[in-house]
Amino acid sequence: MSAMRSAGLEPKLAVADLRVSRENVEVLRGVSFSLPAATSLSFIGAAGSGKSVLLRALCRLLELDPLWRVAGSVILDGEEILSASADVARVRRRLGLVFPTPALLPMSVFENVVFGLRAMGVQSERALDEAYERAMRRVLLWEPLGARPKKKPESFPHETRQRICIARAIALEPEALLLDEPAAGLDPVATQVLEDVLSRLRRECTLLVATNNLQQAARLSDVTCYLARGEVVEIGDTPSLFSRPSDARTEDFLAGRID
Amino acid sequence: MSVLPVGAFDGALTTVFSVAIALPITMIVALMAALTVAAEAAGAASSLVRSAGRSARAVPPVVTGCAVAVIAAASGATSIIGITVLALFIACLPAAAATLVETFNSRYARRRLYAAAAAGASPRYIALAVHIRGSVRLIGAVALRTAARMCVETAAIVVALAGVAGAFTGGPALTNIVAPHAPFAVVQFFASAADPDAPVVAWRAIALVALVLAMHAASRLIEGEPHESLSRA
Repeated sequence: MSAMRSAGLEPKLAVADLRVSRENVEVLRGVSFSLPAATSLSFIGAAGSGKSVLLRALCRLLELDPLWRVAGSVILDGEEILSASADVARVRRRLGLVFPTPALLPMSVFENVVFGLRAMGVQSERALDEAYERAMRRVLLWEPLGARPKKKPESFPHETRQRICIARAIALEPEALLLDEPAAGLDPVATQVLEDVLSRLRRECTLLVATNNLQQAARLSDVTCYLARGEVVEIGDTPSLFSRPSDARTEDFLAGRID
Repeated sequence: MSVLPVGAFDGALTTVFSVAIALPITMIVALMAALTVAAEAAGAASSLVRSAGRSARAVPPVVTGCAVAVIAAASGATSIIGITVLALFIACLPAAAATLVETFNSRYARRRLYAAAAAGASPRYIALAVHIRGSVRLIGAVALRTAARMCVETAAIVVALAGVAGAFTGGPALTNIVAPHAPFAVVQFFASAADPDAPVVAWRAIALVALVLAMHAASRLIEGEPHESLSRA
């Protein structure tokens, strides 16, 4: 953000001219923004505006499907993470992604949470236990679930499963947490619980949230970015963007007037 | 005293032995092919696996198996077990691989793949810790169904080998190997009812059908809920 640059702060995340296409159809058209550390950013926009694709492109998850083409620059803490030489697994650990539907792995709650740590070679059970407890406390599940719950993870309610997925992501101590519609399909009470967790997390790490819920964006983010048809229409401090949008298209979207 | 005619299950040993060798080889290769496709759905290796599978499935497995067996025998191979294992492997690999490819590329499996990749796991770790671990029952069910198919196809392959044995000069030697061990006696399939061996043939046929049905039942038991992608195996 320009204010940040003028203040001489190095951005935590700097995205420049990010272009994403699938089978020659452009989904993101030159997205650029930068974000200081420990700041939360919400992406708002209509369905198909490119919010989810943007999050997946940042953590290089689109590479699992070679039909996607990604070009541009994403710099995380001064390091270009889209380059061919970047360690993709490390990039994904640094930018933990949480999906809209809780994507649990076919294993216990404990193994789900420490999955990424085991995958990166952590073998010490003590280290895993500690990381598990830390992550579960941060998502407010340590008290209700305890050390190694015997219940199968899929038997928990949707909102608890989503918190287990968040715990799996934060167990890796990511530098930024990417949340794609984290409260999709949740009732208001469950959404409130989840937002409580995210409000605590935003004090500790950078959050990037893609959401269709404008109130949620307003509650969770310091900065909001309005995307339309794969382009950044407007990005700015959340209170300003919601109260005094500078672009007429943003104003129309916030007012529910979409062509 | 047994009610079964002497020699009723002689051929079964050959069948079991052939399948016991062919099945692990087939399942390992099928599993590796399926994991390759799952790891990189549109990569060059995946395209190769998919097109090989499509081509192989254009011909009925039993025809492929018999053709392989006949070619191997005509080329001078005399080991009934060796020829049968090779034929079973080539005949049953496409179906087993196709079923596993479907299993690892189901929507549920893709979701697990993305979740595991997002947690920074390497493709190899995902293959072992997620795909195989999450599909143990399905893999077991596919193995049982492949084994059942192999039992049936062994019989057809032996018929083909017996034909080769009669047609070539080196035939008698092969016939000597085939006849006593003929899996479930399909070599003597055309024996008349008056033939003293007819009850043996009948018992072998019953045993073959019972074994195949038992393996299918066991695969359903392992599999649990019906799974669409297993229908081909």
